[in-house]
Amino acid sequence: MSLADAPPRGPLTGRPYQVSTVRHQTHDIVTIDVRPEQEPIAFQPGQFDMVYVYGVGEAAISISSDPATPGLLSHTIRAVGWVTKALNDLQPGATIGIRGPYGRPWPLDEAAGRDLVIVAGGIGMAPVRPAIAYALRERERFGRVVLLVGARSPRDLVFRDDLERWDADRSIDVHTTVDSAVRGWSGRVGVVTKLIPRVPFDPENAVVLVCGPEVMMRFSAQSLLARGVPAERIFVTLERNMKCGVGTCGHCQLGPLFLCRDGPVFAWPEVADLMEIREL
Amino acid sequence: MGTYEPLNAGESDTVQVALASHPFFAALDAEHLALIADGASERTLGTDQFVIRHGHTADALYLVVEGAVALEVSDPSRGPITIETIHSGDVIGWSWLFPPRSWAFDGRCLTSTRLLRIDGEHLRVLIDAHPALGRDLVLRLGRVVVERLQAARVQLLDVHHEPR
Amino acid sequence: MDGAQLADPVVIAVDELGTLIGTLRGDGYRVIGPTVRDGSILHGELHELSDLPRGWTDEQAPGTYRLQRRDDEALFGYAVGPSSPKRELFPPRQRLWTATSDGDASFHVTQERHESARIAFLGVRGCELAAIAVQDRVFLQGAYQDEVYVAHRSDVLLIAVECGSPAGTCFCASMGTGPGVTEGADLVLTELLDGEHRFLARAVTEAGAELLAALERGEPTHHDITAREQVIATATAGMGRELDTDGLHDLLLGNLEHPRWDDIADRCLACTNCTLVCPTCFCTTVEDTTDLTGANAFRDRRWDSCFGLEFSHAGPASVRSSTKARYRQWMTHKLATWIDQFGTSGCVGCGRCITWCPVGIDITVEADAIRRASDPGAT
Repeated sequence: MSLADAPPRGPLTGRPYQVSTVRHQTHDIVTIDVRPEQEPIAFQPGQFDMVYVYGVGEAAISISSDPATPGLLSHTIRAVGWVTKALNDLQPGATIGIRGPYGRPWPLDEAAGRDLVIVAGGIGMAPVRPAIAYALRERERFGRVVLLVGARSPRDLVFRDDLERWDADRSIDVHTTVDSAVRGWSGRVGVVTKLIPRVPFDPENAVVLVCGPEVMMRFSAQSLLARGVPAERIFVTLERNMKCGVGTCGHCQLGPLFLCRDGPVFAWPEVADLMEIREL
Repeated sequence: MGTYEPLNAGESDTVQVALASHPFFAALDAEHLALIADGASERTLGTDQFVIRHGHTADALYLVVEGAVALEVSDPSRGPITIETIHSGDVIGWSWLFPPRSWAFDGRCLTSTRLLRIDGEHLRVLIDAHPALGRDLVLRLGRVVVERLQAARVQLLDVHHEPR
Repeated sequence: MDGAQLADPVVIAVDELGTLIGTLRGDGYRVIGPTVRDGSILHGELHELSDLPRGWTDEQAPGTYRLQRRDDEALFGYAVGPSSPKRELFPPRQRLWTATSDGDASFHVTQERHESARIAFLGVRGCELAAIAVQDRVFLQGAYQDEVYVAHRSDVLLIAVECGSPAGTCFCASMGTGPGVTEGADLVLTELLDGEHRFLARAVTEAGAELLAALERGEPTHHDITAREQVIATATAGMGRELDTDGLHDLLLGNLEHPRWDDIADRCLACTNCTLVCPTCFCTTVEDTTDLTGANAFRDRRWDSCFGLEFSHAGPASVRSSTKARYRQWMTHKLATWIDQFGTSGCVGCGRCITWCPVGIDITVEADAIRRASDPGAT
């Protein structure tokens, strides 16, 4: 598969797609599939779409499916605001509007020949899932492939079947941990950053993709730097309110950056200082 | 502390070799290592066996070689609550160093777990008798405490919780 | 427009402007220019010469705007009013599309057609031309062209009138956007009030030259040329404000946690006036609505302001919950990060944000305060 640029579609007007499957992954996270088989939507891992619910509104949602199967497009959504709550309530057969894909993708080509380490927290699994799918398919392009997954509790883990499958598959090294456990959980308990000093990979020759809550990404970056990963090979994906997705509505600014246009994926040195300024 | 690929059970002919390969003692002075090894022994516990018990005398430092241990608090209304899990390459416990020298948590093996046990009294005597060794050991423990504290703080932040 | 040379100037009589308005209207243009309305000089449609604000000027200061009678018959004897060409080129509210329910939980989308409007702006200032150029960069020169802006911008004639009456809040000379005009317009006029009331006119583009060709023109005398130079020199010297732009980008971004932001926050009402009158502010939000039956859903885009609490959030919480953070966002964007994003300052020195701020916060004073507090050597 090539990671060639996907051409942009009309920037302001989405197209309707019928929802084929709705997968409730946790009590507040759902994955919605559409099948644009006639006109597959090419995208790169880490990109997002603007997804519209009839009469309710639009939200920026990461694409969580495999870029090698553009005829199946998945969006994984956590119910937070009006639109995402409405998306969580959708039934198969409903129609949603989609425009995109937008944004700068994960730099997977840069990881070629190196260890690929992915740190995902909670819903942060969604934007890294296409990268994992790519890495599995192009496994020989990378050294070790390590996935560190954190969630609030076992019931907040998304794509559990994938995690189990990848773990069983052994072609990638999967470590899952939860911040707090209930009876019956026999896995790790502790924050995902605790895994970083221990997991085998070559810090000096690794590319790390981090996606999760901003605080978790800041602590992850700290641990990664302490481990010896060069700052410029740590990548995070940032989130702010977005209205247009193409850098003209002004909402998602962080200092000089439009997160939608310049990101959402950034190398750590591009954003580290900006993330430390309160209310920027 | 770095990554850890433990030696297999038969591979370490002496406890000293096993200690030296554990990340907690990485690059420890060989003389100090020999002194510490005098108080060390290997032990293996099965699933659900307890390494430490809340309230019991804290009489040893444990290095986890292989396996996983859950640090738990038992709550009559909710059952055991896991604070965190301790894995290969981690250590259990600094309570042997400080009065009242009793364990603050239960440590339950989640799987068959191989440990290195170093006697607490032995370590306390060494710390007093050999200031350089004592300083090094306390710094290593301090680093573990700081890492655990930072992790606990992040855990406390409950970063995945979205306020409504 | 780019690369066109200023043609040799000609002189036209005042009444020829009336002819110009008529010609443009005859060609199907809406002619938009200054009119006296609601106690201010606002952009409105011009039908004839008498629609222009003859004999009026504007007195402006921080938080103050008043129309005053001039003691002459000047048609463009004011600085700028609260409105700018932005209102026509990027309307405050735009329908983007309509979705129509097909039953069965499906719908189809009809994109709004934005008819290309023929607009001729008369009386555009240097600062306003610069503002249009800034919005051109935002909406036309990125990875995507904004379809609404394209529609409104594509058939536009710009007839500039160089500013001879800068206001107390003006600082275009500091920003290098005025008061004289050298580029960005089709036709540039200078109103000459010494002796006989007349205009010096220079075509910049073919379209401008065609407009001039339809008018009665005279050869300018040496005196006319120096009279124009005098207008510009007087206006340049008459700037009510000054902004030292030297190193301003790094200065502001190096002082994001300066105590001055707290000081401003004590005064700022976060009323959004500055962003609404600013000719370059481009931020928008969208509104999704349905009709009463639910058979049609609409998406409208409207001007938004970074001073609103709702403007920026990550998850359910506002990122910039304090007024301090919101003012800082606006000012550092305008004067600093805009340069990173679009290669130009977002400020053209028109002074509107100073005049129309209800508490008279002055961007030039605030920038200067941060400069002085950061550099002990400055006076």
